[in-house]
Amino acid sequence: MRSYEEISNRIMERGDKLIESAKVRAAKIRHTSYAVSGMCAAAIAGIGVWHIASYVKKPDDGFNGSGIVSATETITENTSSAEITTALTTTSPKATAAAKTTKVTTDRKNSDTTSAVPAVTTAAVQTTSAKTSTVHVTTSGNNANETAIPESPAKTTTADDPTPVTTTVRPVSPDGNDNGNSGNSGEESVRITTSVHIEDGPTTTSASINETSTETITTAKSGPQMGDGGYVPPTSTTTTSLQDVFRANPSYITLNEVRYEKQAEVSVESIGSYLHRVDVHIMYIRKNIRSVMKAYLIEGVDEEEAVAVQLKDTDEYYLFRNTSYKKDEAE
Amino acid sequence: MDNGASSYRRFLDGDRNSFTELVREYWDGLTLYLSGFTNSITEAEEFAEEVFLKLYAERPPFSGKSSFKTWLYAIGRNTVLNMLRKRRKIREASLDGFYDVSDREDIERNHIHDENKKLLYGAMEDLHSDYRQVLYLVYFENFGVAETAEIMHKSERQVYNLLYRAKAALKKTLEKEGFEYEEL
Repeated sequence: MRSYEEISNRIMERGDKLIESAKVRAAKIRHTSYAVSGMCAAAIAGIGVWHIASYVKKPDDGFNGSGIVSATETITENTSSAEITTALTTTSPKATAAAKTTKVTTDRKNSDTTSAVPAVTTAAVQTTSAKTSTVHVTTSGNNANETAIPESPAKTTTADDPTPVTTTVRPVSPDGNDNGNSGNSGEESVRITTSVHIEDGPTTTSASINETSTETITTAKSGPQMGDGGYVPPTSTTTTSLQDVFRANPSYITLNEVRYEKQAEVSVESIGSYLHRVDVHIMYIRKNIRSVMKAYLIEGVDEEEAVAVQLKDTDEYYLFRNTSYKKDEAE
Repeated sequence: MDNGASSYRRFLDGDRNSFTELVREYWDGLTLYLSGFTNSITEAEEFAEEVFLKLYAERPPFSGKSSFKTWLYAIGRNTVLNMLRKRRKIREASLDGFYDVSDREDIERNHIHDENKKLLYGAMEDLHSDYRQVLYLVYFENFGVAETAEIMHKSERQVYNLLYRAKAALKKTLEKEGFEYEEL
């Protein structure tokens, strides 16, 4: 039989172990609870921030400061095998593409050589680079070999009469072969053929302008009609204000999951009470610019039918109309 | 304040020797009482050890509304019932069972000095668990009906009835064995 001291010591030993393990377990639980509560707090904060982020005023996608839109656009188009053909018929003397004076000495009777002293100063109309070229002029004659002697300087006069001019620009190979299938790159040389019909005499002169050039035409992009191919478009930077972009492009807003599209400008007198801020989506070229503006009711007009949006930093109000609105449905 | 209560106070104040005093004073009686829940004295010792371990580790506060012995036995009863509920196992004979007889005799010899009571305690083995508990508490530990009711979580009336039926059952058992005990 065990003595009472043995029993007591055994119980106290077990009790000490039990107390120690309880302390360790409590410490583990405490540390775990700290970590878990921290994670929960972080998660709650994250969810909260994410949840209220949509209600916080955004910095207008970069329009906040100066109200200036700065867009950089890179346009790359393949011009290696393109052929530029520009047919231009000019009827106004002032709008004549090329002021041209051709002094042609032609011996129609017995001369096989035509000495032409051309002077061509080409001022491009609706093209972008002005060129002064030395060209070969071939004049069609009876049994005449085609010989052109370029000379310089050239006279430049302005035609008084309307002169039809047809300019054809085609890529040519560096060796002068004008066959389009000869494998030329088209980037390094082009052939510009200009047909000039001069009606001041019985002779019609067809001038062929051959040009070999190693430069790449770089033009400033001036409009969407450009870019038909045949030249390397540049990287252009356009700076436009938000207000101009808004006025010039279609826009829409979404209110209560209903799409309102921009219509005409409305007068200030017809503006009703303030609704709330809205995100205005401006469809600008290939981008969708978003800006926060203020929406207002229009007096006498149902909110479901149309609302007014004040253009930011201006006193202009624009009508945004619900395109799917039908009055019968509303009634 | 009884002796057990003062020892327990000192133990709560950090005196480990007081805990040994508690074990010395209440170990045998508690073990015999807890043996009423099981037929194994070893298992009863195990229960008693758990009761004192509970005192040592959890240090439950003693309010003094009852005697320390009553409070300790009530804790013992609750602890044993919880353990039996948790175990719910098939009773298996353990190696400790070989020492049951000697341990029982030692404990009985230490705790029950009256020879007639020793015979009586031996005769109680075949009785129902509640009968054994109530007879032990009243006749061996000298608890009153109220204290017995508090320990057993019964009303005094229930304890009276239980005690009456327990004595009748014990008397019947003793008569079978040709033994007479005047106090019953």
